[in-house]
Amino acid sequence: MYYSSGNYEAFAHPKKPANADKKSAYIVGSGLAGLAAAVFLIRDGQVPGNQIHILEELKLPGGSMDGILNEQRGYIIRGGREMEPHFETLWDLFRSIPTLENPDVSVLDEFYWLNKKDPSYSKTRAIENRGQKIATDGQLTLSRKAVEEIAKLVLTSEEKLGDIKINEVFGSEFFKSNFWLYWSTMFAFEPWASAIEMRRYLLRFVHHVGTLQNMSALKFTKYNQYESLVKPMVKYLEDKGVQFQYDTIVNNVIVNRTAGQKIATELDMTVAGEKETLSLTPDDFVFVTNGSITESTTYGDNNHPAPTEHAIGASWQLWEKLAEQDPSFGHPAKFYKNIPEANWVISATCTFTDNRIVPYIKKITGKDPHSGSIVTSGPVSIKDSNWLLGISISRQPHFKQQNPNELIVWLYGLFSDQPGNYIQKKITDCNGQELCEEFLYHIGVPEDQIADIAKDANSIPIHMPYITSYFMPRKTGDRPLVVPEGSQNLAFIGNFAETKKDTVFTTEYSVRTAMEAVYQLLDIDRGVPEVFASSYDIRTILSSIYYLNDKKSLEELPLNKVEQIGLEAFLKKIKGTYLEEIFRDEHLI
Amino acid sequence: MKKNNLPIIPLAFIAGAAVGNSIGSMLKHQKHGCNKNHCCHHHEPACCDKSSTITDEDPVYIRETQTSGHGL
Ligand SMILES: Cc1cc2nc3c(=O)[nH]c(=O)nc-3n(C[C@H](O)[C@H](O)[C@H](O)COP(=O)(O)OP(=O)(O)OC[C@H]3O[C@@H](n4cnc5c(N)ncnc54)[C@H](O)[C@@H]3O)c2cc1C
Repeated sequence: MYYSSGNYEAFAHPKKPANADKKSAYIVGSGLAGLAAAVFLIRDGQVPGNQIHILEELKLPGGSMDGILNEQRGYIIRGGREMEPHFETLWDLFRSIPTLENPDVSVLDEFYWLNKKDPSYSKTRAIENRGQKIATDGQLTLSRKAVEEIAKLVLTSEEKLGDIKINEVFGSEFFKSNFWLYWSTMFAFEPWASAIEMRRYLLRFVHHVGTLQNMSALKFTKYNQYESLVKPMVKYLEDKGVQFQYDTIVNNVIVNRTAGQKIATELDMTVAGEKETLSLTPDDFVFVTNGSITESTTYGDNNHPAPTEHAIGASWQLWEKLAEQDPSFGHPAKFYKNIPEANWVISATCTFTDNRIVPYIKKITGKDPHSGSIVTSGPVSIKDSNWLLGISISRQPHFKQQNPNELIVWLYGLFSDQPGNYIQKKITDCNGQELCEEFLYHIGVPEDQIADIAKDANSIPIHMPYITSYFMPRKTGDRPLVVPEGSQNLAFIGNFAETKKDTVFTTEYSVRTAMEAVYQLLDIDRGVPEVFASSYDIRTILSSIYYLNDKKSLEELPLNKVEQIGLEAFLKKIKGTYLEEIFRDEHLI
Repeated sequence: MKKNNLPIIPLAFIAGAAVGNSIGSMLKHQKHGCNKNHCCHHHEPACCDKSSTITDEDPVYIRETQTSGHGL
C-alpha cells in the first residue's frame, strides 16, 4: 500500500488483484468503517459481493452514524457529523455510492450541490448571559504565550507526547482564549484529552484556523447521516449481494501465530443467542471494528434520565480477547477504563412544535430554523454554562418523515460533574424536560415560559459512556496498526486502529482505515489518498499565523527589540522576492 | 550555494518570531509529561503559569482545565 495525491491516481481504476474471486471477507461491525471496507472490497478489490459477510451485534446497520425515528421515544440523534472537503478517502468512497432518490446522482454530488447552494456560516459562535453573543466573538484572543504553546506542541514529536494530556501542555492564558472555547467545543476535546490527538488536529486542520470563528469550512448532509450516508451504502452493498447478518456478536477471533505470521483461523460468535464457530482459511479476510464510542448507549425520555450504565460491551470485549493473543493488537483498557467523571457523556435530541422558541433561535443564528437552510453551522457554545452546553440545529427537516412544524435541536454538555445554571442537577441526572429547560434558559426564553415549552417538547437524553474514548490519553502501540505486522488476513478498522497522521472522532478516519485495510490485505495497486497535506503548505502555515494572531501582520505583533530588528532585516532581505509575494498574499506584510 | 540558503535562515527566524518564540528555545524546552510540582521554571508556561490565574469567577470549563476530570 502506498499514499498518493492528485488526479492521476484519483481517477485511475486499479487492476483486479490476483485471486480476488477466491477471497471471502468477514467484517465485524456494520458502522461506517465496516460498510466502507465492503464497498472497497467490491469496487477496488473486485471481490464478489456474495462472498462478503457483515456481522453486526445490533439489529440495524450504521453503528455510531445514527438518526432514527423510534416509535416509542421519537426522533433520536446521538450526534451530527461536521464534515469538510478534505476528507479524501470519504469522498473517494461516496463518489461511487448512488443516492436513493436518483441512481445517476452520487452521494458526493448531492452533498456538493447542496453545500454550494446552502453554505454554512455561523453568525454567533458563542453566547453567554442568556443568549447574548460574547463580546469578543469572532476573535481567537490568543496571547503570545498561548500561541507559543501551540507552536511548541506542534513541534513536539508524537513519541514524546505519550500519555500526556492537553492540560499538561497548555497554561491558563491558552485555556481562557476563545480559540480553546471554539476548538474544544467544535471537536469535543476535554482538557484531559490526549495531547497527541490535539497535535494531530492542529496539523490536520491547520487550513481551518481562519474559519474557526464562523465555521464556514464545514459541510453537512441533507438529512441525518443514517438516512443520507448509511442507507445509500447499505442499498449499494445489498444490490451487490453482500450478506448482512444482524444479532451476531463476534466474541473472539482466534489467531494462529507462527514464524512471525499471524493468521486468523476461527470466529467465535453468538448468533441470535446461540454459540457458533466458523473456521477460516488464509483466503478469508477478517476486518474487526475494535471498540466503539457508542457502545452501551442508553436513552431516557421527557420524564426519565438516561440510565448511566457502563457495561463493557462486545466491541471492547472482542478487542480484549484479541489483545490477550498478541501485544501488537493494542491496549483496549486505555480507552474504556478510568474515564473521567466530569467528561462529556450526555447528548439530547429535543423536538419542538411550539414556535415560541423560534425568535430566540433567530436572534442567535440570524436564521429562521424552518427555512430549510443550515441553522447553526456546527455548535453554538454557551460559555457560562456549567455543563458547557452546545447547541446544534441542522437543516430542517432533519428526517425525511419530519413534519414541517417540527424542529429538532441537538444538545450536548461537555462537563457532567456540575449542577446546571437553571436546573440544579448534574446533566447525567436530568430527564429530557430538565435538559430542555436548561437549554431554554440559556437562549434567553423568559423563565415563566420555560417549563411550559419544555413540557410540550419531546426531549430524549442519551447517555454514551464511551463517547470520548477516542481522545483518551495514549501512547504509540495502544492502538493496533490497521494491518499488524505479520498479519496475513486480519485487519483492524475504525477510529481505534492506528493510521499515520489522521484524526480520530471523524468519519474520514473510519473510511481511511477501511481503505488501507482492504488495499493492504488484497495488495491493491492504487494509491490511498494521503491525509490532506495542508500542514506542508507554506501558504496555509503563514495564513494560520495571521489568524492565530487575530489578523495581525508581522509588524503588528508584540515583538521585543531584538525580534523587531530581525524582522526589519528579514523584510528588507525578501523585498522584491517570491517570499515577499507569499507573505503579502497571506496578509503577513 | 551559500547564497541560495540565505532566504531559508530569515524565514526560519521569522516563523519563530511570528509565533513569538525562537524555534531553538521551543525545541530546548519540550516537555515530557509535566509534573506541576517539579518543572516550575520560567520557560514552562503550561506547568507554572502564575501570571494568569484561574479563579472561581471563571466559567466551569476554564476551571475544569485545572482538574483531571474527576470533579473540582
Ligand atoms: C455524537 C457523535 C458525534 C460525532 N461527530 C462527528 C463529526 O462531527 N464529524 C465526523 O466526521 N465524525 C463525527 N463522529 C464520528 C463518526 O460518526 C464515527 O467515527 C464513525 O461513525 C465510526 O464508525 P465506525 O464504523 O468506525 O465505528 P462504529 O460506528 O462504532 O461501528 C462499530 C459497529 O460494530 C459493531 N460491533 C462492534 N463490536 C462488535 C462485535 N464484537 N460483534 C458484532 N458487532 C460489533 C457495533 O455494534 C457497531 O455497529 C461523531 C460520532 C458521534 C457518536
